[in-house]
Amino acid sequence: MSTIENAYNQVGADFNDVLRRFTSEELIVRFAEKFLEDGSFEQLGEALRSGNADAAFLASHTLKGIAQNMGFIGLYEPSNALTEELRSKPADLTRAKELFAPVEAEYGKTAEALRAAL
Amino acid sequence: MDDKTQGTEQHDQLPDMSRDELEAEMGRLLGVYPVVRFLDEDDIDEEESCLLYGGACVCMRGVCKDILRNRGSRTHRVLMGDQVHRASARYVNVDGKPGVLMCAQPVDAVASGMLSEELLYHDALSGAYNRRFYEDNLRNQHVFAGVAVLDLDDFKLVNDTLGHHAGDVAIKTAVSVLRSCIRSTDMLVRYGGDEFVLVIPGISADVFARKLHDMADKLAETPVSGYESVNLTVSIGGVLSEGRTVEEAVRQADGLMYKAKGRKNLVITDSDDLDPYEFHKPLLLVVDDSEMNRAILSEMLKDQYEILEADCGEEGIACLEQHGSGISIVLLDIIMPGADGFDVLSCMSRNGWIDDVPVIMISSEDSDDSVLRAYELGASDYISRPFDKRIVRQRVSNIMRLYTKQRRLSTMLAQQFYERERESRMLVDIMGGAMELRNGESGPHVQHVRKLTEMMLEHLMRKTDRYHISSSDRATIAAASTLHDLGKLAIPDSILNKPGRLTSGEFEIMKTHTTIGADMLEDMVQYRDSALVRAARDICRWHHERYDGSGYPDGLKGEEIPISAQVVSLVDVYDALTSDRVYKKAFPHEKAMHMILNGECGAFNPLLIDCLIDLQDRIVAEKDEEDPPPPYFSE
Repeated sequence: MSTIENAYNQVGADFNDVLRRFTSEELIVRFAEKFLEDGSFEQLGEALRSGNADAAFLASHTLKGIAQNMGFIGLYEPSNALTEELRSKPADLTRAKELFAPVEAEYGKTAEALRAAL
Repeated sequence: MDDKTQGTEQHDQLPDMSRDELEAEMGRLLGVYPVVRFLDEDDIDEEESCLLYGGACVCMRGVCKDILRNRGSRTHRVLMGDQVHRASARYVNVDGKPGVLMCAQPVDAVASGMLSEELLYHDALSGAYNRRFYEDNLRNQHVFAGVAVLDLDDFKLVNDTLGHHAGDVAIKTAVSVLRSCIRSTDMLVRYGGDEFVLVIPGISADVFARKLHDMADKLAETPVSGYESVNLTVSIGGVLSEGRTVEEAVRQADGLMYKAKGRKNLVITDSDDLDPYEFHKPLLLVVDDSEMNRAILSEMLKDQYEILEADCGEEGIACLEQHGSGISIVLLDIIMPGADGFDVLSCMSRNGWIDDVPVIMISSEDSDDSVLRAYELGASDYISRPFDKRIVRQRVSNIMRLYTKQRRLSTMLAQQFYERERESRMLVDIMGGAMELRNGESGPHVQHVRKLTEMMLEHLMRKTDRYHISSSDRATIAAASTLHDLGKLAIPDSILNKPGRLTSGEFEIMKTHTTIGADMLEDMVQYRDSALVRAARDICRWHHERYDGSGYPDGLKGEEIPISAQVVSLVDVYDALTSDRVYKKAFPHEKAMHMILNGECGAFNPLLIDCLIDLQDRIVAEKDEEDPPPPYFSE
């Protein structure tokens, strides 16, 4: 089993589905590297800390989309919930911060597994 | 047995067999064919008379020798007496010894229609070889030849828009040009409707490529007789077969032809370095604030498209401004900081770009509302996440193909529409000119009436929706207005061009120009249902009716008079007042308006009077522009 496949299994993501969609493991690896470089997660945390609901919505929306494309279902679900919370106007930032906790945990897990694999 | 099953039987067989297998095969064939023979090399050389039937038929000897040399199989029609026979021969290797297995049967005379080979193997329209010739004699041949696939560009459009006759003439023209470029031993096959296969034996790569380019150039220079708007261009893919079968070479040439099709009017051969065509990869714009998503899409599509990336809506709009319809397709995210996807779509539709540049939405906003709103704003398609490489590629290519076709179609239609419109205008103007001459009217009365009618109708449509006039009705009525005095052709000159006042008897005759004109049009059985002729008939008959019922010939009143005739009657009066006539000089605009408003020329629809008043500045301005006042020193 390849290391990238291992990383997918570790975070409970469906590697075969991603492989089918991207058609090559090489592409998955390249995108996984991009995923680690992507700043959406940091922007999301920063926006929530500074209380900027609009910026938080954009960042969580982007993070959700990326997670969905990468097939990280564990990260997609909490970031989707957070995005929907932030979409409502005015957004409840206290609630949003609660919803950010599982996003942070999943992101940490995913990033760690990927870093170990790449 | 039909050709197909027979063909399959032949082609599925391997040429190597044992003597036992040969005998079994011959036994099987004898169940179907009255004549089955196996001939080895010596038989073919030694046998004196016909190899199949004795002395009665066209000899297959040449065919057998050819098969021994080149292998494969051939099928020929052989005419014996008045009976057509179908004779097939194929190469077999029996216990290591080469030979030819032949079989023949009479072709049902009704089915074959007693076809001679010329009829059987040639395309009736163009005279090129037909597909059957290809299947029977070319497909499985191993050859050393230049093999090209030629596809006429936009032939289907010509057929669909100009009609099949135009398509036929185009094909004939193309074939005669192509044949003029090849030797009689070369083979040009009409492979499909607009697709040709060309086989030129024993030619070098250089000469072959040059010849194909010459053909394309010559085609592009040749007009299609009677359809000068058609440009014959062709996309060609060519390869050297190097001993492969024609079919294999055709398959490869076909692939090159499709590459050439991307640009049309292009020749690509296998000796071409394809790199230059990389520059012609279509431009694809990805607008997405996430670099990651842009990277994913770019990776999925970069081998087929040149990718432009924009990280926000504003940047996307700037790219569109810069490249215009040079961008072939846009992939657009919805949620972005600043201008979002909807803003980009709105901007594209405001600028008319959306008509030329298709947009596929790629957002993860998949609520029905967002998707619907995007479609309403002109998006062509929606790709949902997560992205699947094959689906993304297929969707993009589908939409591209649709738009490319639509773009070419609308250009062609616009050109045709313009040409037809121009021709019909020209005919109507010639007609109007002839009547002007006959009626002795000074100045271009007919053109004035047309112009004024058009202006009045346009204004009327804006003022009220009472009359349900579409813009196409408007154009029809304006064209028909030029025929309003058609009936004057039948009025004697002495009355028509009498300088003095008409007697009441003469006036009665003069009045008949309305009914005579309408009857002339009514009698044109072939055309009387056309919108133009119907409008012209109404106008001819009723352009002297008045709103209060005091006009002629029928004394119609108010809205009983068709709006077309109401408009023409008013502009006819206005133009007659402001132009010279045999019986009067031109009145100035103010005087003419005063007379009309005063009811001196009869009653008109008040709404139309209002239109005339609204338009009077424009009318005067147009008139001045048309007849510049003479320089004062010439007076």
